[in-house]
Amino acid sequence: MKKFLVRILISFLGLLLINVAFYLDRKESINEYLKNLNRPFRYKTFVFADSHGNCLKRDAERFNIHNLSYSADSYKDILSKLEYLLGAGADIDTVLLTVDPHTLSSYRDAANNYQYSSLLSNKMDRYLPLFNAQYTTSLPGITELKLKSIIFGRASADTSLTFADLTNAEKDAEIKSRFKNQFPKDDSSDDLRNDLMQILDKCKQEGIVVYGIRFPLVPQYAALVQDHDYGAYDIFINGRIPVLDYQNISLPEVYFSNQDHLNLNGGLELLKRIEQDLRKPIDSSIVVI
Amino acid sequence: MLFNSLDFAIFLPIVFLLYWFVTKHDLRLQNALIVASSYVFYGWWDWRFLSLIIFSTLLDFSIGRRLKNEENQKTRKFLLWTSIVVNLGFLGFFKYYNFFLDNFIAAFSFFGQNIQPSSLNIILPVGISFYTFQTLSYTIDVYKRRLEPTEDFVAFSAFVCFFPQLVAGPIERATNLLPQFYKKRTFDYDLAADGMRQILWGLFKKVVIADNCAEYANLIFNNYQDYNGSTLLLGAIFFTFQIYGDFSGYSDIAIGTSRLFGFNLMQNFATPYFSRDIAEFWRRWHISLSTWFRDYLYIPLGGSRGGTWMKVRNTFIIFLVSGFWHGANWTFIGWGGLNALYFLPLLLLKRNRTNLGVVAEGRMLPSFRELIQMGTTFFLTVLAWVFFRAESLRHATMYLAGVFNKSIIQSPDFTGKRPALTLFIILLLALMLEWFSRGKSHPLFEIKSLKPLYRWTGYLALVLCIIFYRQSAQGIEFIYFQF
Repeated sequence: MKKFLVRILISFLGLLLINVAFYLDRKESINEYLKNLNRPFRYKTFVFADSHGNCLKRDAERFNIHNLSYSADSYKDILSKLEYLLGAGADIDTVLLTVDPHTLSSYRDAANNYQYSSLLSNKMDRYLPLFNAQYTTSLPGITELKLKSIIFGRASADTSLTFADLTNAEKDAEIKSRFKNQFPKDDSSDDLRNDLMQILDKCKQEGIVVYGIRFPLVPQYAALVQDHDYGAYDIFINGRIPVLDYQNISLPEVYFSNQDHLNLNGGLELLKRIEQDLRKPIDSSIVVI
Repeated sequence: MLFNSLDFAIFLPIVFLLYWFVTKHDLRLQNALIVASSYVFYGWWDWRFLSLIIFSTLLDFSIGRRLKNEENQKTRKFLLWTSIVVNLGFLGFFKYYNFFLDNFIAAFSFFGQNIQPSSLNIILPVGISFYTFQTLSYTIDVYKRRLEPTEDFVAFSAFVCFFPQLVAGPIERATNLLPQFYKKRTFDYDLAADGMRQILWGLFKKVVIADNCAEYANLIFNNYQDYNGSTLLLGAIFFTFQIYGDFSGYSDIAIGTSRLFGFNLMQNFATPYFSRDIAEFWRRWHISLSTWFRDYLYIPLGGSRGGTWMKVRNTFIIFLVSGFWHGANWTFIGWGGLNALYFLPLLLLKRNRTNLGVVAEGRMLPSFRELIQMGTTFFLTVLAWVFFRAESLRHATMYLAGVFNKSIIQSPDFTGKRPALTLFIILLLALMLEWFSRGKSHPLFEIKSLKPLYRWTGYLALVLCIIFYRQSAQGIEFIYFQF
């Protein structure tokens, strides 16, 4: 019996050691995710979006806006961030919230940042990564992406290239692949829908003015996406919440890094338009283009 | 509580420590702890379920005692049938009342008569199909004088409610399990260590294989109209591995857990997907149920003796009843019927006992013939599982119609939430492990002969797979709990 219990204990200690290794490996990425939330905020307007909002990160504060977008953020992640900021006493009076067509897609249930945003409400989870389901269940996906890039030899993206630099065939392939990924056959996610409603309720309670924002797309992708919307936009329109709809604005392809993401220069152009549009008086039924 | 849940992870060590440190010197205390912990385990779902299992225990214990001294054959038969009718009556009511009512209404509607009897909101007690058959095996064996009825109520209660196998088997025979409650258990390191290995393997099959295959199977089955033939076939294959991983995984956890407490349960799965024909498949799949039906229904009906008509009749009865045991839906009857059709030719041609040994025994790889045989048998079972998984007979037939059309030559087209490539690699590795350990109780059985470094690396790999591939923090229910 003693031998059995000792071996069980050793196994458990071994797991704890592995846990420490994962904690150390993960520490930097957690800090990177959280640093944007744990700093003094000078302005009262915040943008919450996924990777589509990354284009604003260089220049947002020049326009008195804090950009808290993060790649793969879902509404659940955004809700956690909002609650965290309000709990920490952040002064927020305006929120620009993504309502892109894919935001309620069920693919977001798997591709998100729960492993990070869950730490905002439960700090102890960062010390126990091996026992944190949000984190551990995200690892196979990350491992598989790395495996695929090794097996299929995909070169890492050259970030200096724009969408305009691709050939027509490459553009077509990228558009089709992206569309298939963002708009699978599944229905929309009920969980994410609930999270979006909670964000809107929270903002209403706190007296925060909410604008929806739809980020620009290249025309070919916009045409494909046109009839595929998982419903976030309708929630805003039915709730008489204004939407800054830039999906179909004509921006040159040099401002796009790919079919549905602006690059930093494109972000600057977008910020100029956002600044103008935010100055307009709010008509809650208006879709501002 | 689920085996793959935090509740069970806390429950098991507590019971284990109490069992081996507090009650180890006293047999009655050991058995009493088994009973108490089993009732806690079972009542965790719904405390109301306990009344049924306690009633069943009291009834069959009393009947067993009466049978001991009863020589009058008529009275003995009456006591036996009381046990059968009451136990199956409860099972029939909880499981099949609404099914029969719905079909009764449908039949009347067919003839233009609309009736509105009230259907009841009946909760199916977890595991009722399993423990009912287990207690029936006791009364039948006592009646047939294969087993001495017990005077020890605590031991008998422990036999009926033993928590590792209570809710999803293996369905133990009283002749195997009950005598183990008559002797005080002493801790056996090798038995307990092998038990832990079997639990680990069972968890791996359930959490990694079954739950992840389930995601793809559910996606495809629930949207079958949107997919081509090859995707539908893949969906059926995913379900084939889901149900195997789920059910055999549970059995492994049950058997492994029992070993922690010094008990040996029967093997319930013996690498059934390496079977060379359907008869062999049914000797390797859910062994405790198929042998129960063989011994308590098939043989009393005459078995394979008698003429062709009797063989056909008995075969259909067994498979249809077996299908119906799984659930109150025509799909399960369809599944059973299809398996009967697969089995009959072998029986009538007297080829049902051709493949009794382990496939490719003593060899690393199967012969080409064995490969074809295994492939064919596997394909037939995949098709039959479509009925098992489908919501209705229509769903099953439409699904199969979708498989067997020209779109089967197109490449599969689906996008799941979980990473498919690494899952596919893990599935292949698991199949290889099962292949090289066919004939053993589980793949980790021989691992104890490896050097510690390799052994512990293997354990670690399995544990990390379980941690990384679990679908949720809470654990997903086992399929067979619904039976």
